[in-house]
Amino acid sequence: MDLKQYPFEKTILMQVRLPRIWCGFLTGSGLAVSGLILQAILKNPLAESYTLGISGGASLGIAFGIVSGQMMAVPMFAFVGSVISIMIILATASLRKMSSGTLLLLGIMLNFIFSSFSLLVITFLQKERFMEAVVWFMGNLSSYHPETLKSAPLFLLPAYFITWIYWKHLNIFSLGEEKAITLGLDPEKKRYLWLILTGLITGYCVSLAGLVGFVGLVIPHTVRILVGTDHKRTIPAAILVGGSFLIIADTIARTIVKPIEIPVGVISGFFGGIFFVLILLKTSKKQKW
Amino acid sequence: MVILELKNVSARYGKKEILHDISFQMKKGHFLGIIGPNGSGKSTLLKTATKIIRQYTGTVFFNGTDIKTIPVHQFAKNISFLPSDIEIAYPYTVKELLIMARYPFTSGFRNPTSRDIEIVNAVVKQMGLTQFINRTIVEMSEGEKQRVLLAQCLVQQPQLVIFDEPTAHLDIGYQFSFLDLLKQYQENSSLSILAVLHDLNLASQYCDELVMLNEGSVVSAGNPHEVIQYKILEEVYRTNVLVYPHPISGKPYVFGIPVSWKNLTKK
Repeated sequence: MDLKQYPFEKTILMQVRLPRIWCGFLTGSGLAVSGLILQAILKNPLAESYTLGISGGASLGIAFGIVSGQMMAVPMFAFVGSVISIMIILATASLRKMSSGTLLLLGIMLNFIFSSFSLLVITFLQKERFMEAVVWFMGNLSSYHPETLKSAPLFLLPAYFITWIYWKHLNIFSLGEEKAITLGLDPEKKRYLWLILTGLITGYCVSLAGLVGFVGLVIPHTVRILVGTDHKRTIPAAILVGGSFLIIADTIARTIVKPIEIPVGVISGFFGGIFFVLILLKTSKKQKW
Repeated sequence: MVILELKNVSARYGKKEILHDISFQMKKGHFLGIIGPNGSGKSTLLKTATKIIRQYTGTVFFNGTDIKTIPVHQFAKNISFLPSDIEIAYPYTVKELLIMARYPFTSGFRNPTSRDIEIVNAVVKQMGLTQFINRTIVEMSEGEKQRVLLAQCLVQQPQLVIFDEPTAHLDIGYQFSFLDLLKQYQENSSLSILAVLHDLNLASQYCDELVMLNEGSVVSAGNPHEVIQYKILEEVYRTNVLVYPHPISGKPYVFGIPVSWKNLTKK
């Protein structure tokens, strides 16, 4: 088939569908990889960038972006919000030596504070703007900024590569601090580097698609069931599974109740959740975490 | 030859000083047991000797070198550590866990070499773990798990292994098989062993030397006959005990006495 004969279809494909698929892939893979990293370095299967307060920071950024009236700048605001919240976590953690459990709890609290504050901010918006904010909060793959989609892979793809090169670190980190030190890996400083990396990855994901929940928490678990626990395999698997999962979820979101488009976050949470419960029930009792 | 020496070590956790001026030496190839009541600073002592706790005064020497000057990856080539109550949060297979312990020897991003795999296989064979090699750690019993974690320490091919209550959750069968294995390694490959042991009788039977801590200070040190004495024990543990020689080894064996029996023993 020669696309030149179908200029309209070609435009749709090249300018709408493919970029959207690419956006879905980057967001899904980014959230999955950052979830995987956080679960390893904090040695906690409940860790992901959203439970670490990053999503709260991002939503506050989004709220301020929409209040500012510069719709084009919302991704930028989202990015800054998530990076600021990871900085707060880091600063607090370095002031007082904290266990990973405390760090996680701190993140969840930070998330509450930020989310409440951003809800407060958007209640004062006009109705249309309010809806705009809600769509960002729910996560969707249609309001990305073309410039963000161009710049995000320049950071995300090298970040994935770096993560994969350091797969051994993640294995050793996941055994806990005491074991890590006595296996020759000093986790203190490296933990901060990993946190910064995941903060940046999440920042990019949020600036692309808003708050897409679920992926960061559940894809790493799914991947472990599929390919085992060794990070040499889970990192590439998380990239592929996370990316494709969000593309599929988005396709369902676009088509299930045509012509209304459901935010992808709703679909990923709903179908992904059911899917994951099924996996959990099917997996033998042996493999628990 | 001295493998490990603590010299005037005082360590604090937060504002509270946990260890006060600890000094002792451990000979190469020996099995040294640290004993003492709960909260006497035993675990803190091990963490200080493994570079996990860095804020302390005094010096810890490993083979005559101040451990503060040894980088962690170098340190890990010589010393391995099994913390107490270690929880593996993810279902790694035994094979994956063991090959991880070659981390200090495989520089940077390199994959494990065939030599690393040989070492792992040798330990697996010696410890009878062949059938478990592809099982995940979360599906194993406490005793099997502890054996895997011991194997992980040995794969590091250390001169000195340090354990924090390695037999705490094991039944009597696994307790003895764990310590017997250690003893074997000590005798065959002159491995030095430093362990916190809760059970005084196990400590007495297996250790060459004992150091008893109480409230962060060394109250007694020497061979089991010198340390396991009822006077010392009754003072440190604030309870009544009887110490008799073990019928086979002759090593001191501790019997606890409930308070309600006191009248009987007076007679």
